Amino acid sequence: MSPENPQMQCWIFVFNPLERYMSNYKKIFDAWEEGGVRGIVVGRMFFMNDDDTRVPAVPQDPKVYSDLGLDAPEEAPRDKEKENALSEMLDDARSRGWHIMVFDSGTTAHVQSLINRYPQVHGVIIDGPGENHYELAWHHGGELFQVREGERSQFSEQGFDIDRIERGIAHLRDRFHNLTPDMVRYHAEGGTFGGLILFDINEDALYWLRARQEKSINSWKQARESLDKVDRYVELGGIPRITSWSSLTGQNYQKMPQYFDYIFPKHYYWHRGFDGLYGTVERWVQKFIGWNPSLSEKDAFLLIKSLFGFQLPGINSLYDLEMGFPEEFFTEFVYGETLRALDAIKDVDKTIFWVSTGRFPHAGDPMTARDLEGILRATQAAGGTKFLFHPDPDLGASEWTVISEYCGKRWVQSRNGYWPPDSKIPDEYGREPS
Amino acid sequence: MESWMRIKLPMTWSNRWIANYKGIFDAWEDGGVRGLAVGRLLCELDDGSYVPAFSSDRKIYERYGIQPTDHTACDPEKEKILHEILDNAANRGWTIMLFDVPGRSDGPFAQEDPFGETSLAAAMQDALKAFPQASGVIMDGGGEQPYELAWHHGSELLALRPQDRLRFELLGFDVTRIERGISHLRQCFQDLTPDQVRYHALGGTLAGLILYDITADGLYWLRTRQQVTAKAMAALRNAMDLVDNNPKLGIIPRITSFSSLTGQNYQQMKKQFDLIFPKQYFWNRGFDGLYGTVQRWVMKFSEWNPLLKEADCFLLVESLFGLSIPGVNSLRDLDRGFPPEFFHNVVASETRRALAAIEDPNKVIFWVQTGRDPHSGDAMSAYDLQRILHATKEAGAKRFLFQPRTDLSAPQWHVISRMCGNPWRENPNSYWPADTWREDVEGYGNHFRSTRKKDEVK
Repeated sequence: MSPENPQMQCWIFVFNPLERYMSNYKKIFDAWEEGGVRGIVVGRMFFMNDDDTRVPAVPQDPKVYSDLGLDAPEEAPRDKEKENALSEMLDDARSRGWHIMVFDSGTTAHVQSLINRYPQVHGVIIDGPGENHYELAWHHGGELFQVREGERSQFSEQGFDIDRIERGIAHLRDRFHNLTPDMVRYHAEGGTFGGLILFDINEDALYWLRARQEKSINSWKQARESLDKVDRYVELGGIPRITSWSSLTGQNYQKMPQYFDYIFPKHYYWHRGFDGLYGTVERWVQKFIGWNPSLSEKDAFLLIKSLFGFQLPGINSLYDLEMGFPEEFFTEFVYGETLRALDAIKDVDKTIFWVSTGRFPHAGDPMTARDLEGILRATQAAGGTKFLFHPDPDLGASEWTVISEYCGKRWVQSRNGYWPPDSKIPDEYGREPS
Repeated sequence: MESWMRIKLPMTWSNRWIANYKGIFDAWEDGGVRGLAVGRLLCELDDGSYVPAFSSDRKIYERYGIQPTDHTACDPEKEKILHEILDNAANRGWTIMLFDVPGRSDGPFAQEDPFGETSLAAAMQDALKAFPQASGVIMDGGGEQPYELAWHHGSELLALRPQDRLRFELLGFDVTRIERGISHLRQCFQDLTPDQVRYHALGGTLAGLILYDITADGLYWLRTRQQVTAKAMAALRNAMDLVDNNPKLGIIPRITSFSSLTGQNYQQMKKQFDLIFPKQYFWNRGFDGLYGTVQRWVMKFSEWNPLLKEADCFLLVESLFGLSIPGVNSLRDLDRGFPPEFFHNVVASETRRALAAIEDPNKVIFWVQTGRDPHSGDAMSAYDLQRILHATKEAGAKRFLFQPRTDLSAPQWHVISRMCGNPWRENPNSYWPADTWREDVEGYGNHFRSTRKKDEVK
């Protein structure tokens, strides 16, 4: 099967251990270039020793600190040989005309040190910039109805009334524990006006929800200001959760573009693990049922619809989530999320969908190459032109076939050619040709 | 299903009705009718004004400490026949509810009685004493807040009527704050862009808060509306509790999707009312019809935000009310009428939501209207009626009330009788639904006359 328009542009996430790429980058990059790769995101910036200890890949430049009137940190161990190898790899990528971004930003001094050591880099990326917590269950280090210590000080520093925020959280938490089938079945399909009543959103709760939005914007502003103090322009990218969650994470896609050069909406859909849409939905449904035993699973899915606006095609129960992704999931849901992101950002070139599938996506259930193809097809149909693939843990043969078909020359496996490392090399290739 | 009928006074209070009520009731009983809503209890005078259809009892008003208004029946003879008609219905075992009551004050009311409970209690006592055949009183749209974005049917969402302002003040709400909330929301409603709408409109409640920039003042106003309606509904209950013999209290709210805006919360309603009649009103144009309200919201959003496409405006309606009308993406689509999915999806969902909220199907009687000019709206066919009733039944409803605009038509009666009793068989010598022309009775050409003139045909 050949896609109607195979001209998407692909970036790849070159992530740790970096050594696996550094040792063989020419062959890998040759294959990637032929398959349509035009950019890489490298990071996080550390090397790994044989004993799994880490060495920073970026030496902090004492002069940078002194120029900024700061005390330089204590000198950390270095591996200059690996730094040089990484630099050579980045030189090679630049020579191919690829865009190079580093995964993770930092203070002005951090980024200036990075740029000084690796001038090939165009910019830096923040994962989940300004993200407020979005899981109802305690998961991945937090939960919705909780102000973590770090957040408490952020809210305070930005002038928000913490007591009022906590009253708002307590009120909403109480309501989320006191939902009944009649309330849900009456209000949940009633749009925003129905939702205001169903969740009894009062002024304190509204204050909290609005404070979250503002806190996100303040963090982006701060990130941009830090980069603007570097001695050359450094691009900034951000990786927010996909549109449907953005109302809760605070990552307003319409307000991000003025701070970010690139926005990488997360096309993360796996079950379980973390950050996957199916998994987040499952945890919300389970929590709603746990807190409100009279609700059916269907009621809990209705609550998701009321809060976030989506109803997953063919999904009416938790068991349905185990059955994976029907075709309509891609043609309707992924398509819709993509369209909304593009409409909000209003700059297709600035939007690079961050896609991950594979055997172990973010510790979640596996997603197949068919799922990857469904995501890419829907993204392209909705107007997306670029995506980044995040192999987890490595590129598989079937994934690379799909990606290369969409973006360049379709990969054909061969004895002496590039082999995507997540797939077992055919036994035959291990023998001398007959 | 069980059917009730609305008998409108004084429009159907015609010679034809008076002369034929027994035959009509016989046919209706055979077709499954088991209840009536009668009223308003008014007679029309020659000068076009209206007076109550019965003589009031001054002592009742005195008992409640109310100054009685001049309240005498227009025509004792007609009042007598009305009693005969209601006696006949009551003898068939039909439930009879009065539709509204004359004689109550429209205000302004004092702080200690901001909804005029005492005046209403006296008027209900008076009417129910005059018509002992009735089991209770139905109040149309009790406590309803404005829900139209355009000025329509006497109100608009983003404007405080003088009576609303007075009531909010009497109840101790901060009217200055309410006006700030309204003003902010109006500004937001007039400053929407395609990118905002396409990003947020499908994002549920949390995105709606962002799209409409709901501020604390805006929320205060929206919550105040809910609270005032809850108090108004409680006041109706309190008034009825002052009436002798525990009569039933009914209410006719707009359908569930709009109830979040009218303030008529079905869950609060079930505690206050014995019978709830959700309006299955779906026509375009006119007033109170779902298509018409959607059309007016879409047109207003388009007018205020010229960058928006019609499809964007429909998205806004979906975002606010959760309403997605199958096959409708433009105003032109609304003029094409109702696709089958409308009934399977929208009507069924509205019905299910009402039943879920009220939690007692025996308390719910869907108030249905279709026909030539339902509430001055575009015509709806008998096929539409059939599909409304099928969807309503499949969603779990047991009862409905049919409101003919003036009279029933032949195809409507076919549908209703098939759903509720013995299917009607057309027979020139028996009952004939009067909204359908009969050449053998009326003669060729008479169908061009108005309904009123048709009533005069002997």
